[in-house]
Amino acid sequence: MSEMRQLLLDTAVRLFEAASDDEVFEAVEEGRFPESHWRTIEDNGLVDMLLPEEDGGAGADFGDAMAVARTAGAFALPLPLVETMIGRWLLSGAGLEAPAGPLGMVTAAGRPEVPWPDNISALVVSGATGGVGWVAAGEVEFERATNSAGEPVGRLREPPPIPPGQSGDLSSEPSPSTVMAVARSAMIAGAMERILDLTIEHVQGRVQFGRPLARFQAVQQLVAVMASHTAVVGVAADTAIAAVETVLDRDGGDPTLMAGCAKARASEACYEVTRIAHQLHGAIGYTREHDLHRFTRRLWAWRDADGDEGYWQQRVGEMAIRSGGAGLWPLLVEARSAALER
Amino acid sequence: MKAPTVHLRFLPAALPEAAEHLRSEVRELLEETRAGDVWLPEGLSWWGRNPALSRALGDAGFIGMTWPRQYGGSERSYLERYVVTEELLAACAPTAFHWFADRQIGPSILRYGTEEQKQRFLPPIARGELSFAVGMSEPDSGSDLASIRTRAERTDGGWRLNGSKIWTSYAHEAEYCVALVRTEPKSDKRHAGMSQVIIDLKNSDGITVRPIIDLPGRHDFNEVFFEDTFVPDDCLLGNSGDGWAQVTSELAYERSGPERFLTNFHLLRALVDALDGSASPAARREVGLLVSRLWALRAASVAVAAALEAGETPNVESALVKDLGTNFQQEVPEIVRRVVADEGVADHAVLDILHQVILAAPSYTIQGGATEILRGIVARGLRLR
Repeated sequence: MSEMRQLLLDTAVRLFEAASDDEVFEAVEEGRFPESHWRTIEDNGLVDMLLPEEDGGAGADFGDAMAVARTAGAFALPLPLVETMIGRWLLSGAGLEAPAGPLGMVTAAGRPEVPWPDNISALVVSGATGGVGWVAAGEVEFERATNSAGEPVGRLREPPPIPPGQSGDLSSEPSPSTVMAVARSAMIAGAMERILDLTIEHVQGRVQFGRPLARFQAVQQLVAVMASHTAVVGVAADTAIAAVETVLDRDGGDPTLMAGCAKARASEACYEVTRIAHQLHGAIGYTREHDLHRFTRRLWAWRDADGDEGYWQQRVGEMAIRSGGAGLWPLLVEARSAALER
Repeated sequence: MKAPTVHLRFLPAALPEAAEHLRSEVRELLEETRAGDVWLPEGLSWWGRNPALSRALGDAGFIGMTWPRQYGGSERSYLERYVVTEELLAACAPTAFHWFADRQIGPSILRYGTEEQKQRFLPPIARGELSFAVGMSEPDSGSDLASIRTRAERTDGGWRLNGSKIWTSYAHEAEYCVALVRTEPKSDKRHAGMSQVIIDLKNSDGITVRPIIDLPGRHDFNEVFFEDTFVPDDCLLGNSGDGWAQVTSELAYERSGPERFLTNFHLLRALVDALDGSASPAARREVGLLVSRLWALRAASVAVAAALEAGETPNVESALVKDLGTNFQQEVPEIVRRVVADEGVADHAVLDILHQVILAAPSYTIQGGATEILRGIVARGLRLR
């Protein structure tokens, strides 16, 4: 791991740990934005980490940012950090100055549902036609609701119009929806790793019939299944991250297939991982007294965010059918991540 | 709340450029031999056996690729071998003639064999001329391999073998079988007293091979009986008593390979061929479900291959890949059935392969380590047992 990444991760863990205490989560459930934690995260440079140093950023690479996203998942961070970080980076890439404050993101993938509609300063929007722009949050008509994580969200029937002078072009790949799919996969991977850790701790500590739950074969088999899904979601996310890095470094190629596969796999695995985690935690996991719900509820929100498994499966299926039988295998193996070569 | 402990993590890897170059070579060889009627894609994929194709692959240097040149290998990396393997699987090439020797027996001989054994067995294996069977399970020892009873007793100049092995694929055709046997009586130490022996199936007395017809109606299984079968001293593989350690040290190679999720790739390919731009959203979703799972499994499998290449022993990760991979394979025909029905696919290629794959599917999650055993290994890796 590079020194830069280690430094960013140390900072992230320190800040996210502080931003994930009981008080913060209680406030979030009541719809209150954890303002002071957001400011600390901003002040520590995480929201602009992807921008070059001359533009006031940290000059981190995409892999660094995704390591931070995974850590955000591992702490169920109830703040729109990943949206803001990627939104600012995309706007900067299109030659636009990003508005200050937390941002929401709307891409071509999936149903638009934006966390913290009353606390974000602006909405970053990228449509199916490419390019990116922003619109002040106050000008957007949201339908207010709460997502399964208990966070306030604003739903949109369609992407809002962008005022003149607030949009610009982007290089065609990686597209904003691809980048967000990869970032969300990394967050899901991080949250799954936490859920697995909580579950292992629980089955080792909880004694029934005179022995820890972990001693029962039926329990061991279930933990093995959730560990398998967690590990595969993790390596799928990492491989897609490397694909995006390769495209960014070479300024060419298309990581959409890999990003789509990673998000489809991550979203799909949320059911099995949360089902087993809750089954093994028993009644205590079905309460707000135990931490498990913070993570499982976010998985239920995140599996739908930035395109659910159905959306990405369909996109991947279209690519496969278009490639034809003879082209299917080359499509799978020739989409490579040079960034991973050892 | 601290950062979570990450209990299992695959380090993602890509196949190096050098390995990627081999793809086109394998594809060319497969195309040429297929055009020359050497082989046909088989519904059984790597379970099909074709000595002529194995010979051609041996001539091209695609068997024993990682072994030293002095034993007929070409000193390629494990990742290069990985590319060749997955290309053979994707083409649905029948490779059972050399598969077991290439995958596990050759590497065992290389690691544990005597100089004489290496010179005697490895070059003909690498040429695709010598076929091996694997003798592990017994009628009373399936998943519980350590309970085997076939015994080898000391005799003048060698060992005398009594007992039987079962599910021994192609024992009726292979020249040799490497078997795990008891060389000492059972003791409190379950895994002690076992050894591996190389048995000459064609030229030994006291061997009876009984065919067992499998569920799809084929004969590749056998039960092999040994009655005072003589095994000379120079056919003990490795040290007497080390059999268990030797056998388990090769499991990562046996379990994590692409044959654990690509066995019925031809069904997916045929389905994709039968669909076109008019496919319904549901059909596209089902195809994408299969492709995304396959892609993710391959990412995990390549990560294990890279760990093996780096000299690690990723037994837990391998068990995990085999578990998810074989369960995926088992689900493929069920998902294809739905699409075929919904889309009214009448293409014979798809329906014929589908029929064959449904019959073969129950075997995927049993052979080479049953699902429950694999999950037990993963659980042990997580320190639950």
